[in-house]
Amino acid sequence: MIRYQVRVARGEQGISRGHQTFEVELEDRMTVLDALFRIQREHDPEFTFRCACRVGMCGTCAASINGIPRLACRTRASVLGGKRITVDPLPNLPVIRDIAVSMQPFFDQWKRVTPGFRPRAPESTELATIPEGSRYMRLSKGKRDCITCGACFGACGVKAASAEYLGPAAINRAMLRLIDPRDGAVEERVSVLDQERAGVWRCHTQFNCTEVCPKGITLTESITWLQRSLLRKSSLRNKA
Amino acid sequence: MASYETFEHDVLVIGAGGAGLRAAVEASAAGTKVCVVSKSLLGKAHTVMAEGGMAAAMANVDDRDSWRVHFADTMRGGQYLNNPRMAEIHAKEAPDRVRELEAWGALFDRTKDGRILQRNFGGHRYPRLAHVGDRTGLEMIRTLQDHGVHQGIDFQMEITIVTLLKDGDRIAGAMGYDRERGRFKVYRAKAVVLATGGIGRAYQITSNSWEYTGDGQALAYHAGAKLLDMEFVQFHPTGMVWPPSVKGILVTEGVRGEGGVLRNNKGRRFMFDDIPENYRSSTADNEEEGWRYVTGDKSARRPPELLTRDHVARCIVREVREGRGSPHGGVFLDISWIKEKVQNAPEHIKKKLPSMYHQFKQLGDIDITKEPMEVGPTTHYVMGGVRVDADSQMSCVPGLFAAGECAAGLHGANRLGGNSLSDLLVFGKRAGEFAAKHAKSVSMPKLDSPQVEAAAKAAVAPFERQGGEGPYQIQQTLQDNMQQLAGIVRREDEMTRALELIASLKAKAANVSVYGNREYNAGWHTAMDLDSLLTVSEAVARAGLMRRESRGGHFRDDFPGKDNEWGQYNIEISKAADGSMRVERVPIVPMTGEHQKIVEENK
Repeated sequence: MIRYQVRVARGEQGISRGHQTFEVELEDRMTVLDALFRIQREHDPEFTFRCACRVGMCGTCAASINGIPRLACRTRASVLGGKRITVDPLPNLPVIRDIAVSMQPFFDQWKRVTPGFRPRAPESTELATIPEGSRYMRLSKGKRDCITCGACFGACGVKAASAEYLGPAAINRAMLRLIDPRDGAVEERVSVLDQERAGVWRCHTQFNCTEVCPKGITLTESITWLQRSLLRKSSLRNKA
Repeated sequence: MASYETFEHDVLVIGAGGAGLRAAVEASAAGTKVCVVSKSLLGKAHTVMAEGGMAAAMANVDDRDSWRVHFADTMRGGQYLNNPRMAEIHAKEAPDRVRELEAWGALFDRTKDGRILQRNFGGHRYPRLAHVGDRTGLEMIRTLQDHGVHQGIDFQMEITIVTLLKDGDRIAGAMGYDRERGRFKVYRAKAVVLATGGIGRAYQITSNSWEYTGDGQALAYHAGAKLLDMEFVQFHPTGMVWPPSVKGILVTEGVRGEGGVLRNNKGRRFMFDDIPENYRSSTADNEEEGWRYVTGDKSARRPPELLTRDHVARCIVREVREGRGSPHGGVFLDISWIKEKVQNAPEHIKKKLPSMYHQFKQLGDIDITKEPMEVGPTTHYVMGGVRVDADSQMSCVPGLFAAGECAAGLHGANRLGGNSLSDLLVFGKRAGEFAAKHAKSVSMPKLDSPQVEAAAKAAVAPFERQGGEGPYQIQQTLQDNMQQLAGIVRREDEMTRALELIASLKAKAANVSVYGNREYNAGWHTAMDLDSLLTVSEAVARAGLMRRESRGGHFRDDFPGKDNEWGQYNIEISKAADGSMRVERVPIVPMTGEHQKIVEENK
């Protein structure tokens, strides 16, 4: 058992009530999510945060932990170094209560890039062959695992200043659709990605998003790949 | 009643996992106005945790496979208590549901010649599981979600439904509240599809999402629908046992499918010691043959680690009980040993099982390419649920449908791995299709304001009471109780005690107190889950008590054998007029001559 001082943000509907510190005892290898549960169960039943799967697959419990957006369920208390843990809601999203934020701005941006599949040949029943070494397989490697947790959105320096910027997750989604040889909706995505203020050009390549992604998605690479591709739009239109 | 926000739809879908989304997509495509409400955020349903894949007899990897073999495997796995018509529909339609997902943008792993790759799984005779690495559920959810958003389906997130509404005998919609502000919402609908998943949170150790509180089963029960097969709860043999925070989290069967073996603390592969008679002819009798099987040798038989889940789970319990367990009360699951067989084994393991690799590395501080994992049984799935018509998925309440885990019938006494994702899609689609058809054939039902008012009053009552027990304590006592007394090994006296405890917890739940206001109040949310948890727990214990034999997911220490007489019956649960729970034996749905023939030819 190790005793931690866990400092958590309190507040509701965008009004902060500062932080409150709880003493929490954790066993070896326990996570920040365990600490949050202990607070709720043993100290204050009204303390609010979200979680669903407990294992880093659903992306519900992202929070700013010691200043860095990450999944509470996947963050062992011991890796944080020190006995003080500070948990805040994800930045750049409106607070509903305590650690729980509204994901609406995140999903609004997600929707803008036409995230769904738009087949080039809607009538075709032929199963596409996408060989192992193909361009799609090469470029999509490690980028298909997004769990829409919002950590990148919270870590992004540009998102902090710009409500209109798409943010890393939505851009990565757009890239996956654009490189998919089966998909045909190029122009609508390009027109959004190419926007001066909302599109990929806002990225400062600070790599914050890549740094924090719990799935290890190289988001900055997706964004800069799109920046280069937008200079030669024909490369996006020609999927062969 | 005018004070509550009211919505009108043709079809209301409750739950946004695989079954709910697929139902919504289908109902919307049929031209009806559809709303999906979900307790969690969109895309966070338990389905995203499904790793292994979805079973569909596409015969891409082994051309001997067909719907007939899949049907026979499913019936055998379910110990012939399945609804054979559902097993038939499922086996026939699953391949189309896989291909359709591809048409909507999913991309399954491929064979060398570019077809959809299929992997081995317990109880399936041939490699049958279409998969996307080990994140098949995530790909499925994301595909359906984006497809549904594009169709213009009305998605309302973080809505908890507290009751179904009726207009006479038929369904009229549902009433709930939004978690964010605690405002009541009334949904008037011609048809309602329940797709709320399972009941894992009734137990202390579970692989399930924390939203899995048996809502659909309980809502249906109170609305007059019947529950079936509730005694059959599947305990997945391999959950993490350490560290404590992730107790119960699943270690996919895919590990065993890729060659992972189970050993006790003596280093023995104990699964070879106990192979059930009816599986002996299809199970390898030596390690070498087992390895050849997982590497695709068609002449080899599967290793005993890939026997059905209930059997593997009980073998693990036995090893632990008899003192041959691992340090934290499990056994060892080892995939690292394949370095003896495969060049560059660490890379191979990481490629085949990336999520597992990261899960153990991050949470357990264990490198599975180098050392074995510690695993033990965890509550994983409920085979029972709402009794529905095999073709339409409608319950006995007109207009009330159920699909996926919250419905019963397909899996009988035990579900095969991989048959869940296919279940969601096959029957989610059917529920959506028939719900739309139903909605088109009826007028908009009337809303009954006393029902709405009563539900609202009951929902806010915990705020008005002082000094009652807190919701977390009640929930935790129930979970401990179910784990100890109605878990993997059951006995008459223990289940009787479980029922007594449930009765006392019901009384406490009726007097539960919560504090604060209605805005995102986790204590209140937990209080609102209690009725569902207690209802499904009672159903499990009552049905478990009645079935005096061991079969599939239901194991009785006091009746350890299978009883042929009991093989002729399902157990059906309904709410009696006096509000008590009625438990009845009902004859199973018989197989047709053709079904029997298929079973015989695949013996």
